[in-house]
Amino acid sequence: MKADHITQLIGNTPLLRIDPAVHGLKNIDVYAKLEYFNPFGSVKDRIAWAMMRDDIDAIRTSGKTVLESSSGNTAKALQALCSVYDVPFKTVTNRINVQEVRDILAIMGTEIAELPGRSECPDPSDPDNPLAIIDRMLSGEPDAYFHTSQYTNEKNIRVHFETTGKEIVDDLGEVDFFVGGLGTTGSTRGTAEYIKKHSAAVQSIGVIAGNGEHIPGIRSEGDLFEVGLFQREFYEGMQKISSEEAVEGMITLIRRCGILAGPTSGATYIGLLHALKPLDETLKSRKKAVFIACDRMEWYVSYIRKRRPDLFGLKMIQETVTESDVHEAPAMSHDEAQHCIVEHKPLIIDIRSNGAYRAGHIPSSINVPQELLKEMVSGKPFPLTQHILIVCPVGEQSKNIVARLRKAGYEHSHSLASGITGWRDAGLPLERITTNA
Amino acid sequence: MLRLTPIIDTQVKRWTENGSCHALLDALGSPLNVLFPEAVKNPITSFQETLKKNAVRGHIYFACKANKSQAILRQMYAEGVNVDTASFGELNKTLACGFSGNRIEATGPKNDIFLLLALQHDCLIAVDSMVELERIICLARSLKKTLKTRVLLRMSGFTDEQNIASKDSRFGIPLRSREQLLSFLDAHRPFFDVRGVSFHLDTAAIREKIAAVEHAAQFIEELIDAGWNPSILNIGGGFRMNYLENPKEWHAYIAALQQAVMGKEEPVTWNNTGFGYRNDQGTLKGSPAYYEYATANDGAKYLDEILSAPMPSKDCTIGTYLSERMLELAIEPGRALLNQAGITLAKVNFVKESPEGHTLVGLDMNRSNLASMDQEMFLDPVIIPRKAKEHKPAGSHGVFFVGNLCLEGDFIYRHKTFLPHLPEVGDTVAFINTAAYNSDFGESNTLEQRIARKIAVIPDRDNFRWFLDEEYSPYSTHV
Repeated sequence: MKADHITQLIGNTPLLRIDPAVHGLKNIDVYAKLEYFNPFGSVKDRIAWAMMRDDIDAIRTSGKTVLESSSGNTAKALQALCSVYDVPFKTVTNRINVQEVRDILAIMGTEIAELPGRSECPDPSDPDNPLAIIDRMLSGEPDAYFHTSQYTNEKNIRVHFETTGKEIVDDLGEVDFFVGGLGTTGSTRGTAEYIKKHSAAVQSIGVIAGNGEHIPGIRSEGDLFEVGLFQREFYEGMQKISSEEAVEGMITLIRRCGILAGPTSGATYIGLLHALKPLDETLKSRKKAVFIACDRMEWYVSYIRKRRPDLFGLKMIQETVTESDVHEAPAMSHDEAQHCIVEHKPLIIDIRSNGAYRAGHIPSSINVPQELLKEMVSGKPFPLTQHILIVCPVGEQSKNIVARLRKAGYEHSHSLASGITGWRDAGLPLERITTNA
Repeated sequence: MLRLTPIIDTQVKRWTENGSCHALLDALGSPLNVLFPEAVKNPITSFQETLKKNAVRGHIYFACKANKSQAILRQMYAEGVNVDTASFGELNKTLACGFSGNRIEATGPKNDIFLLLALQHDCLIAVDSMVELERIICLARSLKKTLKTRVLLRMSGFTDEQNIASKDSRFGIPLRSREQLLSFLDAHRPFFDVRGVSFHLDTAAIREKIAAVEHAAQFIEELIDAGWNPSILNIGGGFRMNYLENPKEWHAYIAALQQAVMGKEEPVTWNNTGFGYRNDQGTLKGSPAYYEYATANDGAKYLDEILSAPMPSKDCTIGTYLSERMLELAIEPGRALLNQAGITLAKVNFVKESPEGHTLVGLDMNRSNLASMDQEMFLDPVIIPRKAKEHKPAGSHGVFFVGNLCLEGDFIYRHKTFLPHLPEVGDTVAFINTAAYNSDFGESNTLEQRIARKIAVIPDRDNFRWFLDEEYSPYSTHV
């Protein structure tokens, strides 16, 4: 396939049948609409373009900044489009909880205005939510911004009606169940409305996060009321999913279907199973169900790591020394150290981080941070006759290093008892490398 | 039935069950604040263990504004913590409870009388403005002080590269004017011993705390370069406290509140007030104007979260940074140290129905005895019946607790409390975990109504002993 512009690659995403051995439903064929095939990686690519395409020329000539409140995918898509069209973009949010999102947006050059956290002494006269802040920004400088307003913009629903829904019907014909995650609710509503035109009896099921749960991109019940596009009556059912379930669903999709989607897709899949399993037995004829796999797994690594550390295993640093080795590692008092410095000119190695070393260290000491030193020791990088004094904050971490040095054959290595804090407390001299030096 | 089950410490629970509350209320009047001074041992130990675990040297300054009790203050002395005082009155009382100046910090806005006493006792002064520095010089000269005044520079206005929009604050010296500050200090070296930098953020959001620590740490380096010898980083308070047994109950109540505001469910608040939420043409707008009563990482766990958090510019955790840089951490917890340290008792005066059919339980207390600065407390009280009741099946009675003021707005709780049994006249209602900010903080004798008395209760083998607040000292009770 050939394209002349990235926007031509938005939409027309594949619909993948899920192996019945995976989902276990006897009378229902399940299809995943792989929205992460969109060029910027998510279902939001559709609305980002839809909200901008009619006005893009005007935005360019006026020099306005495109403004949105987005916690991730919409910001990414809008930024990609704005970069390609050379237009500034800014997102205002208090919901970015995923570090990778922040990092990707940084690589793309996004201006993010993050809002203050919830106040400890809440002031009833002070609204902190992003939409209120955006309102203030727009009324303060009405000509400076183009607010795409994904939570209230009808184009959000319309593009899913005209494209996502149409694509599903073109591929499948009749659809009996449609399941989508509710964030702005645009994708689920627009898509389901189109499907309804052709399959009047279609049941649409909205998937939301359980109260207090955090699933990226979808809201919990109470939060939904903040969304202008939300209409509760539209959905035949709502499924509340926990973040544990979302991750379970995601792992199933990844490992059993080759669908490398994120936790929200996992949540939607689980929501589908919860809603349809009870019905499955009662069905007299085969039915078709579609759910949306909205984005990719890659930027949820830290989200998964926090909830399923077992998947990553424990990273074990090769411990070549035992606890008793460390406990018995010999230390030197200040007097002994000072004597040693005069007599033997030892290599004094400060194993703290570089900034701490520069701010204050024992005269003539050098700085090798401990993780680096640990790696070096087995290579025996010093003469075995060398006297070595290891310095750390309070004299504990240094013992681990000395244990390793002793094991490697360095018989004249010692830890400085009480570390550099003890040295400082005893009034002994410290040198400093100033920040200007 | 919507419940908001409070966490109740075992000792507190035992005391409420031993029945002495009715006689005490009769004798000392309603409302009555019952303090459990020994309860502070737990949070203090947790904080100390967290500091130790992170290899950080730390100083705990109890923010005594959280509760005016002298019993608590005397207990704090015995537990070895320091005190953060924010007025002449607080400083005076702290000195009277035995603290010497080296265990006292003076913070907040200061008048001359406060500054003078702080100077006379060589307290650590957290300086709120350049004007305050000038005032200190003037008063120190007047006192003919020979010792340098120990100060912390309280800074505000932290933002980081990622553009976190901090709210403006009325406190502290703006970070952007630190060059001017350094010049001023340089020109007046003989007067000051700059011990470090402090801040207090109005939010518990970790990202903002980390950003503030980064900037404060950077400023400490600048002070050292300028020839000063600061060693303290004071990160203020705001360590959160978890009040509720079950976070699901909290989320369910808030969801019900939101549904009611949107008109989808029966109101759970008087006049369907939204506590910050409102219905704007079918969309829920606004943000919550109440404390988060269910919180996962509170107190010392929150401190641990801060110390374990990575410092973006240093590639190590905040705790590691502090211990390597040989900096001492100072914290100013108020609420976090008073977890389970007090309850507030009130007598039931009447139970009746409003014209619209709501059940109102009238207490001999008013909102000012509980809700500081009009902040709603979302926590079910415990009803202690005066007479043993015949067994009735538990129902779900939604009630509003109303106060003793002749004012339409005097509600103890504007949200509905759902009880298994209706209280009766003469019963005692015990509001749980009120010591921090929910008893005397904003109390008023409006309408000549009573300011609550305080008593201190300590366990005594299987029993309890009680004292008037001003009569209790841990040093005299066990001899």
